Amino acid sequence: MVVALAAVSLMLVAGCSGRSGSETNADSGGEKESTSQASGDFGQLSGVCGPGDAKAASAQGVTADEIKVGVFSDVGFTKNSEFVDAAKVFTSWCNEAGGINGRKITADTRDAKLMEVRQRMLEACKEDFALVGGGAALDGLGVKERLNCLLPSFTAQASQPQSVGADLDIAAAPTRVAGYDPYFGFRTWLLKEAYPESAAAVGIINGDSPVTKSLGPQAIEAIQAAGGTVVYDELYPAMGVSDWTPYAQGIKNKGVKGLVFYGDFKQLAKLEESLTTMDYKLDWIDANSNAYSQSFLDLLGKSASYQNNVLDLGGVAPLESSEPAIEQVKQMYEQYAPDAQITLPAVRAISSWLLFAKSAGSCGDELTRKCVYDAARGETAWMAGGLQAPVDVSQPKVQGPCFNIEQATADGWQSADFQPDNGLYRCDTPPFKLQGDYGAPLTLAAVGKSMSDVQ
Amino acid sequence: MDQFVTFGIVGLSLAAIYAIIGSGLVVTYTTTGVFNFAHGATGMMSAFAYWQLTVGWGLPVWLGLVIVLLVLAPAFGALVERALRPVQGLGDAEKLVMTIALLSGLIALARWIWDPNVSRSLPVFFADRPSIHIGSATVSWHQAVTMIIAIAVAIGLRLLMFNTRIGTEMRATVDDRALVGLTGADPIRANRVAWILGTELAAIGGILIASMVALDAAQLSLLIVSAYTAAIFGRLKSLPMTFVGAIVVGCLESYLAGYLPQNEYLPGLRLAAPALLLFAALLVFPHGRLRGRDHRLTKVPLPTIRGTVFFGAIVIVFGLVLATVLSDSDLITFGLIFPISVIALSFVPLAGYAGQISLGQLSMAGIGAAACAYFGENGQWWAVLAAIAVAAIAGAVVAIPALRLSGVYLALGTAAFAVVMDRWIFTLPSFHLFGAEITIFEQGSIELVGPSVFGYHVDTTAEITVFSAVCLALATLLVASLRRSRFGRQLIAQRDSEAAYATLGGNLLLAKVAVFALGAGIAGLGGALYGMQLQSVTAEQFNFVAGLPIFLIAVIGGLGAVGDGFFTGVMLGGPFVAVVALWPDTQDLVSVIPGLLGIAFAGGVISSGAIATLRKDWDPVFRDRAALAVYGVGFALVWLLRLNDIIDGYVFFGLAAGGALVLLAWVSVRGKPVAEVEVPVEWWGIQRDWQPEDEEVLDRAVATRG
Repeated sequence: MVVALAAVSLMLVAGCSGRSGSETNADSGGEKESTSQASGDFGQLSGVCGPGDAKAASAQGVTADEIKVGVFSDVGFTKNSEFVDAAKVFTSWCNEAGGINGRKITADTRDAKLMEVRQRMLEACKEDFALVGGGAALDGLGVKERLNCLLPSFTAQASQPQSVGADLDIAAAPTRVAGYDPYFGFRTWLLKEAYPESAAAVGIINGDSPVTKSLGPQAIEAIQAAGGTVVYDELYPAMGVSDWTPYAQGIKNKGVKGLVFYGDFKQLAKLEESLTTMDYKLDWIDANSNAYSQSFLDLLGKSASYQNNVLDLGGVAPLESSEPAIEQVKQMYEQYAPDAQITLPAVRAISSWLLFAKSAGSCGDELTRKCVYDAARGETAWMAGGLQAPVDVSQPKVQGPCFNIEQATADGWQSADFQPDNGLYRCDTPPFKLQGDYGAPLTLAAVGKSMSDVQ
Repeated sequence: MDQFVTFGIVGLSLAAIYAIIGSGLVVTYTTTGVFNFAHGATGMMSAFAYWQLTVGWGLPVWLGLVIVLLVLAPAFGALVERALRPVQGLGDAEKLVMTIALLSGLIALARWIWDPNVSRSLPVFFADRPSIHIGSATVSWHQAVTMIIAIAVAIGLRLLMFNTRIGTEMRATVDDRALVGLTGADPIRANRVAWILGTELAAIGGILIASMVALDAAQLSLLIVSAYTAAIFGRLKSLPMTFVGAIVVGCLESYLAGYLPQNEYLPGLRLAAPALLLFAALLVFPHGRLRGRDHRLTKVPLPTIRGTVFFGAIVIVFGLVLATVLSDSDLITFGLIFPISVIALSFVPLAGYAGQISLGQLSMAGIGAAACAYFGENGQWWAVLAAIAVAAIAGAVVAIPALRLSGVYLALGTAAFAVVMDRWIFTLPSFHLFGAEITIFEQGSIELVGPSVFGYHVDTTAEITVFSAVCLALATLLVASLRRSRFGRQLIAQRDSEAAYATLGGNLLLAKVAVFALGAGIAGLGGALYGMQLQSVTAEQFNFVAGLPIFLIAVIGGLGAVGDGFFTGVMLGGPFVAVVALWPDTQDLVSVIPGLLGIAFAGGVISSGAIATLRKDWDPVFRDRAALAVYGVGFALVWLLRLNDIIDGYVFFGLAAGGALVLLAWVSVRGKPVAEVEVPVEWWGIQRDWQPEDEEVLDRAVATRG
């Protein structure tokens, strides 16, 4: 969700680096040497991929032996290849197990390079069967084209308001839903259960990029609804801050006990360095799920143990958990992309891939967009084989209630004591509906189409 | 009080860094006359190099410092001096462009070498020592060291300038370059020392600040805008005043962060504060006459109307070709050639004719795009005109303070304007003005639709591309006829000498306001077209940094030529984009190339402009009607083949470009040089070979006179 931040703060370079149109083909062939079992089972899901005898060229991008899908990414700009890697890992694994009813998946990277979302979308419209397991920071620029060509998207991570929960968008992993606060359970736990004394002094710091700016007011509304009082609300320049001490001093002066940070975690690490230097310890700092990585901990240094960094994975299994599905993802990466990093967005992408593969598999020979879409929407408790808390894909307009909280320590991320009630997750807080108007996703009706046009 | 002191200490440690960096700027500027936009980027490179040595490869800190400060930085400084030597005698725009090329080249290079997704951080110095407590406030050892180094730099510079021979030489070079040369001292050596010294100071500043901020190439390079403000306090001349300026800026930033009330509209103001302060400092401090009347003024070429009409026709044909040949998605990307061309064209009257360097033209384009989206929600035809008008008004407003500025100060002022727009105005929430609700770039992006002209709605990408091409052709014609008009001659006159122009009864205010409004209007048109081409645009697409490459290429093209706009658009939107599209792996390389090329070759081309160089080769072709006709027929044929899908796009463009080259070769072989070019008598034997009959001609000429 806040993936845009890192990108936006780097946006400066957009003018300097080449802007262009291209696509790179993810190597979908996979490794030649195969391990002992090439089964298409994933976690609790059996037969996600497997051989078959599909024949029909039943839709655009589908032939007797291939399904062509697009993977959106900003890799040409951010140089972050997490979606490309996830696509490579999943397609290699799936194709080795026999593909989908015998059809191999070919993943085409649609590299938007931040600004070229619309161009890439037009290309995808012409060639791809669907979009799977990707995301772009400025994805709102492409939704209209996507709806125009009725292209379903199994988005790993949606970013802009026009795009989050737009029609024909299937969110396999738990996601933000327009009009809801996705972190309400997390906030409630922080303010009412874990650190009730922090409720009277919550602060929020937000990057000044347009993409994240709108998250600030939503967070404030939800914090107030969860019983918190916001005493400090500040923007920082996404272009960089020469010294975080004044901000740290401001936080100290206002006596902020809990801090919500929307922005680039590199900046947060520096802010915490300033806070730690002046011996000011907060009850909690919400570092947001973008910070869920080892590099953040490395950057934190001393603050990792001095400050209390927490974040909400929103219902995705943590990477350090012993969940078998996570183990299997690690093993797949080890085999097909040993140098790639497994990130939270990558796990979300795998979830999207699994849902796509399962739905497409259920369509058999007559693989059409409508069939895949309907099959995916039929999942009322999608857990991606154990990668995540159950998501009701048939109800895309309702925020899922589950959350799981991670805490930073000097030795790595670990699960916070948030009393899970459903496996790794806690799902007992009813979602909170925001009152303010924070933009709405695009619909098919807005481009003069309807569901009946989807073939 | 406690808080006040803390903020003060933060401000002073910031000030120390700004002072170090700012004094480096001043040293290079006073000695060489080059305002180094890449100064921050130099500091950034040193910080990265230092990180690589000490953290990446684990060398001890002292060794890392020695290698960076005593080996790498001086070598780099010497290299830059060598690269900049050819532009030393040229105008401000040309000098600026070299450092801008360096800036973008260095950022791209750093991002290539050091993967931006890997988190890096530099430890602060003496991190293991406890902070020093002064009363209730704390000073970290790093802060203390920073301040001590700043003081040492001040003393060191003073000693160097006044107590050494090379310092005296440098100061002498500032006063009178020619005279220094005559006395046997070497101005080039003074330049080299100045560059090395400047690089050194940038390196020290970069390493000091890098441990306080996130190690990010672009952020580090641009963070030190505040140091520029400090240097302006010293009027780019006085080192003590630079230090005072640094203290003012550092403390202001620190106190604003602490005390500015929280309000929806104000955070942006704080973020824009360094730029606003820069603007204010430029206006408040008197700037004596800029040094640098020693550069020669380039001649502004006089375009013929017939030639311009022909040129416009080529542009429109080019637009038609693109629109019919390319796929929709490619057309969105390559169709941007025309809007970028229009934006770049705005430099021609402004910088080419009137000599006003503006780095804020892309912000004007942003204003145009926002205005066009605001008025033309349903494709009203007049929205484009409204966009031009709104941008022109903004341009006129900028022109009034700009009246006090010229040369590099004006460039800085307009840069500050652009940054203020980026950080504050473009990100404002909606507000009410004269009863109308105004939103600029509210939801992050704005939607634009093509206009309806005479009842015909221009809406597909192909139509918009052709529409943009027509607009470019018309705007080019307008600029060409301006050059031929009385007003155009007035602009050139005031560029050549403001004083003389005023003495002869010219109105400087009027001329400047008019040309700024015109330039902004053209840029606004370009912005509106840019938005239509992409359908939705964000403020980031119009930010200051995105505008630098346009300025860079426009200057290399030659600011005086009306074809400069199209040249810039084609260069920026064409070859590099196409290369990356064909070979994606070259992306890193390609992003570094423009900067490096700019530095390596601009020196040679820049004095006359790439367009003038190109025209020398191509003019004979355009004069050769037979050859043109043959090419025209051949081109039409290939185009037809492409339209009927007999050949693909690559073959088409290959044939078209190859044909043009063959044509060039053919014409140069076929036709003798059309009408011997008249070479003035004093250049015989130099510009052309000495011919045996020359001697007789000379003899006769002398004899007749005698």
